[in-house]
Amino acid sequence: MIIESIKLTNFRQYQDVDIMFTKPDKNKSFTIIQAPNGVGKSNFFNAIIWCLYDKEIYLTKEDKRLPLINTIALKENDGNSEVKVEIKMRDEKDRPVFISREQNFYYDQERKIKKAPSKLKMVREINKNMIVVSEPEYILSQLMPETIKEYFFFDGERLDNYFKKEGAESIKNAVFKISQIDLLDKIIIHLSEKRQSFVRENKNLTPVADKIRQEIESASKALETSKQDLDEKNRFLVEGKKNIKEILEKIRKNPIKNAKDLKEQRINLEEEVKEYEDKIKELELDFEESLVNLAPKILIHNAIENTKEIIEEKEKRKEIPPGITDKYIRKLLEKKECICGRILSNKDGSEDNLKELLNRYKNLSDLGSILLNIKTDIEIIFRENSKFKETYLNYEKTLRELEKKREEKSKLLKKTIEKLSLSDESFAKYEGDLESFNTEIENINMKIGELKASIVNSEQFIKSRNEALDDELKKEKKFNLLRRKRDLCAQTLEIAERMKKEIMEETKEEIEKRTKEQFFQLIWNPSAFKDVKIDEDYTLSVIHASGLEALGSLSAGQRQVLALSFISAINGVSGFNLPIIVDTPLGRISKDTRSNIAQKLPNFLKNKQVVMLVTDEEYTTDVRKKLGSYVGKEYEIKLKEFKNGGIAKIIEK
Amino acid sequence: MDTEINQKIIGKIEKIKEKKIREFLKEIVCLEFQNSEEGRWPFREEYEKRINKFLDD
Repeated sequence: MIIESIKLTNFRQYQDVDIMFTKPDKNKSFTIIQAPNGVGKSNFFNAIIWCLYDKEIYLTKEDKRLPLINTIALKENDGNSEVKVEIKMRDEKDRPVFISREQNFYYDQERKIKKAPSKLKMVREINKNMIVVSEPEYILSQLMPETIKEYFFFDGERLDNYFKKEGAESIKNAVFKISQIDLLDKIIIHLSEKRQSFVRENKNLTPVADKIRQEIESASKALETSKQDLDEKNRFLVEGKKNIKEILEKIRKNPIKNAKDLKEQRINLEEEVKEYEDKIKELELDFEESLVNLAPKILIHNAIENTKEIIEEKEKRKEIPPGITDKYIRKLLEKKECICGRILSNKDGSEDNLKELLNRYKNLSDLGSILLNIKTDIEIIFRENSKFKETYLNYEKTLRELEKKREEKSKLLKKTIEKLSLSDESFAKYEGDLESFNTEIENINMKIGELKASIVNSEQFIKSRNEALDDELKKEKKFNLLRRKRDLCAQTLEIAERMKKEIMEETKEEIEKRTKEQFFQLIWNPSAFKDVKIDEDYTLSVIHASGLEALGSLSAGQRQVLALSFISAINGVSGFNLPIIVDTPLGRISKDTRSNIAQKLPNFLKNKQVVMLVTDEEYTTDVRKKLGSYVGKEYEIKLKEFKNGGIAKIIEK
Repeated sequence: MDTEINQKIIGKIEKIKEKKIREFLKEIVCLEFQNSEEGRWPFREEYEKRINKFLDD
């Protein structure tokens, strides 16, 4: 199927738009629709989804508040107008298929906007005649099943959801649907039923044949129940594994990592708090010591201040230092000479007088020197005492700073300990959940084992009873036709079952191979990864170069590359040849990778019609150059804002 | 055979050596594809018609 053209009438901002898409040939298969964000790319995309499936999947909050119809058109048409989206397609045999959906909107008496149910119409060419399809929903569900729409029409910004929301089960179901394995399933069920119904409806069976028939039917019912049980248990198993994966992911991403960090942080903070406490103690000791040294000096401050005053008074009065030194008097006595120059004599008592003076000055000189020394000491003490205030203030300041820092670190430490205890609690909870899920999985696996064994036994029993029934039927000629019918069913059934198994294995292997190839070609750091795997439940794994699972730690861009690789692999492997319409395909991808994708994507999507809705940032000169030779048509969306809403036009470049 | 059927299925059917089984399987695959919604119309009769057709052949 390819889309030839799309015509939008009154669909949101598109009042009247009609554009042709590139018809894929050997060289060109891409159509580009370029617009800045918020102009209408997603609504154009929504218009296609709405036409096919009667829903809009990528609505902004603002769009959700607004009606589907262009409000300007509704007003211009007196409050009664229609939205219509028409898609002209061509099927595999190049026959035209016209699909359209329309919906009437009108004002009620209170001028509130009301809508009628939408109507889908399909016209197809059958035997060279254009025929209106009587059940368009049903035919559309066969041509483009809604369950697989997200593998053909997807939003690049939401590709990540394939790994987040969509479980492996839904991917597996989509792959089965895309590969039409469900078709073979139905054939197997119907052939088995038919094979059995031939004997059930035959009224002339011998009593032995009838007994075997009853045994087969009863075993078939038990087999059916076991198969349903097995399906259910397998679903539980997938769910359980998913839960375990999620818990492991949570543990890997948050608590353990946090706990490790928090534990380190706690140790560091404890050390820091201790350091501050030690510093405070040291400071207090130093201060105490200096206080002990200074205390006596401070206590005698007043007394020594008086002493100093007395000394200074004495100095002022020239009492100290004495005017004549004892040394000078001693010299005079040795020379027997008086201060006035005459000779000393014992007779006039001058020598004795000088000797007495010597004794007096000797004492005075010593006292004067002592007093002067004391004065110097007092001045030193005064200087020290005057520094005490400064020392005290410094001590106070440093102490306050240290206490403040210790307080800050203590608070942080407290918080860290609280967080750590919470993290330990979460971890304990996760561990508990893990244990219970593991126990549950163990039980499910045991039950699955029992069911598989029971299914094998039932199948063997049914097979042997069928052989016995055929032997019994062989005994009478009248059962020849019945036997031949049963034979045809049995042989076809065997082939259909083998085909189903082979296609399932081949499809999975091929999707895995292509996803891996494409991922490694598109990713900017391939050496960081070792492998991409898809297990039998369609759970995707990316193996890091170290051998560890890396899916959970991929960046948004890497996940987008993986999703693009996976989707194009599914597309390539699927039997469906539908157009691929992708909104914002390169949004989260870095410049270099964008260029690489633009170069390689056309090869991955060979012969597929591709419509890309791109922003100006995505569709860079480089991307345009790389895609250039594959692009047949290139459009630009232009939006004109009016008071009552906006009108968008799509203009060919 | 309908071109909208997975080419893998078609390819595998084409490889079946026994002509009767090959043709029968082709027909019922098409039958299932065209009417794959459960209970749309009675399969039983359609299957029986085809089984009888291939037995008569």
